[in-house]
Amino acid sequence: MSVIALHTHKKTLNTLSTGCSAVVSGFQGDQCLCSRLQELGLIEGSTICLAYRLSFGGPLAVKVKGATLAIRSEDAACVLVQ
Amino acid sequence: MSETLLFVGNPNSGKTTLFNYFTGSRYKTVNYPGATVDFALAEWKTPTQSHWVLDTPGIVSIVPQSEDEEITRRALENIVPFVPNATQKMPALLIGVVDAMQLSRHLVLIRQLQQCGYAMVLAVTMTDVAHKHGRKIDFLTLSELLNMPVIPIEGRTGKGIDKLKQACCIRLAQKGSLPQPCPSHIEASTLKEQFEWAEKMVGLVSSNGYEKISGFDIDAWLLHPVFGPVGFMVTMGLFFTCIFAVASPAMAGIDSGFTWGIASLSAFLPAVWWADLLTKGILTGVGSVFVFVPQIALLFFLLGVMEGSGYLARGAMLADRPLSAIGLNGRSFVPLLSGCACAIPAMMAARTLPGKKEKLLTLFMIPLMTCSARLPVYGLLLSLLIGFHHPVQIAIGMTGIYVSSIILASSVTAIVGRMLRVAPAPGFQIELPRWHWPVLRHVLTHTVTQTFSFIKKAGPVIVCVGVLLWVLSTFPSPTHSFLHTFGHVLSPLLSPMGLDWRVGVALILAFAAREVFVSAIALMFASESTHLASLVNTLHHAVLEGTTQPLFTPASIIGLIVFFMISMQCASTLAIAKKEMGGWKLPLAMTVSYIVGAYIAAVGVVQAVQFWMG
Ligand SMILES: Nc1nc2c(ncn2[C@@H]2O[C@H](COP(=O)(O)OP(=O)(O)OP(=O)(O)O)[C@@H](O)[C@H]2O)c(=O)[nH]1
Ligand SMILES: [Mg+2]
Repeated sequence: MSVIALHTHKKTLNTLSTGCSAVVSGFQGDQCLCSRLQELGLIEGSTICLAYRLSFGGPLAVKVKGATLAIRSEDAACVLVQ
Repeated sequence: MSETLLFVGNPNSGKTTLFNYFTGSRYKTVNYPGATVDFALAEWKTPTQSHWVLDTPGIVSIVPQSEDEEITRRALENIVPFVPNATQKMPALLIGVVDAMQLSRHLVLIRQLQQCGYAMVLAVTMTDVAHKHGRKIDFLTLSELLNMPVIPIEGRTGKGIDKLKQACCIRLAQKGSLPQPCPSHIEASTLKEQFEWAEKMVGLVSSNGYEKISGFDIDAWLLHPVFGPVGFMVTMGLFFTCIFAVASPAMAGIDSGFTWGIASLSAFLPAVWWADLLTKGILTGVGSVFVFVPQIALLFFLLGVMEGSGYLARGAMLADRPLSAIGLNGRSFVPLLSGCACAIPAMMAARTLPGKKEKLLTLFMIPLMTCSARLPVYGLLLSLLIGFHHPVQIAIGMTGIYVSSIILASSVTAIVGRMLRVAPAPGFQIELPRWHWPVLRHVLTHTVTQTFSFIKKAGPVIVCVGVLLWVLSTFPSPTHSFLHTFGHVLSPLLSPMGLDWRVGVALILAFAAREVFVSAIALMFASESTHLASLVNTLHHAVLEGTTQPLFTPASIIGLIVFFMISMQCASTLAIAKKEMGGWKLPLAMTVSYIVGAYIAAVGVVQAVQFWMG
């Protein structure tokens, strides 16, 4: 019960709406995927902006450190934001 | 003694562009992260020595996650397998390549490599873009901070290459200590430190922060939730429709040229056997296929424009959702699209896929894409089906074939995906590069080289097949030739497809190269003139041997199209599939099932259409 409550409190990248900025605060889920996302520049503490989002649950694009990265929605759920 | 220099850097940072200037090579540069999937080697001669220079696939970090990245990692650790007569195991010097607009991300890799102890020279590319955006970089300070030479480069003009060469010479003369083995894992905390360090460096040397979004943001439309996918489909539709519609005037020109040439030649030549062989056996065959060269050139040109602009990465993003439904990944989009030109580079491009399952499935799907060798075949068959004088209808028919192949290939992939017992890999992520105007010079050179390489590959095969057919059909006597005897063995297989042995021979010969089907048909039904229109006319009046029924009915033509859509007839594709799949079992199973499947599907379609049409 408490675990579920904890999870619902966490805000993830895929829940941001288009045009919103946020700061990366942590990661959850698949280790391999998380480290690739970090290597691409989604480092804890960096400011990101959700720039574009496709319909039907398609990938979203975030601006981070001057680059635009397209990420699958499901994968973006690994990125915790504030 | 020769030493080895290695270009390393993040994907799409401009390594291949630099490598081309540096060594005078002409490798393909594409505005897509993951364009280079194999190493490239070239010699660099200084006044006193000669060195080896290696271009490598882009890497995001020194820990590789896909096969192309692994190639770079292997080169970093041991260059012996990559260069001939290597005297040292380690590269003598790395040329780090970073994008001036992405310093805070790209310097991280440079930091990682420097920490391993590699001797390095840093090349900062895209300085022209940085200049346009008003971003100033203090290269001297950067060089002091990093403790390595830093050379700004303007990749559109090659300005700065000489300085880079000088810096390399000086650095090679200094002897440093040997690098340590790279770590196989980087802790998140270390990575964070490296990013913070890079951020600090950029703050110290650069005038302003990141690229400001200014002016018209085309991505807001192209990646729009609604207009994005619609625009994508329109782009792809136009792409395929263009290939036939725009090329048809040029095709008609070549057609008339060949016809006139052959006619004047035969009028001039004496009536001897070799003149007959030359005009009927060789030139007719070559002409019938080369009529379709403008289509092929246009295909390469349009692909080049897409590659140069930066749309490919957007396409990958837009295609991720539908592709993931059949077990693939957005990254499969580029291999599949280049499969529309040729399966061989396409299969190599599949190396950028991080997961084994996605990679295998992409490899299975590529042979079903409409490659350029199929264009002449479809061109002929559609002209027969619709009529030669309706280029627009033929163009629509061509798009229909492309769409049907995509639907068919997706279904096959979905089925194979169920059968493959390999776990899917996590995730799809891709960097969307800045938009660039495609460099027309690059696109044109590339189009010309690709087109000539098609001609060079197809030409000799067509000539050989032409000679072979002429010999087989002339001896021992034209009415009881070897070809007759051989062809009649095929008859039972072909009657279910509504065809006779003459088309069967052309189908068999198409295993040498698909486009040979067209030249073989032209020779088998040897029309008086070689004009495509009159060839189509002759074929219209051809009858099934021994009957008065027409040979090329809608049913049999559609059956042939279906056969070519599925059948895998290309030996080079099989060879590259063996290399990329790592063994013979899967590629052979794939080839056999595609050939058998093609036959069964063709027979099924022919019978169904015949039944339906009464
Ligand atoms: N304006 C500008 N464009 C550049 C410059 N350098 C490279 N480009 C373009 O950037 C794109 C990528 O260049 P490549 O040389 O293919 O990049 P790469 O590092 O080899 O990329 P990968 O092989 O994918 O790792 C191409 O479209 C080039 O034309 C530059 O200095 N200025
Ligand atoms: Mg490259």
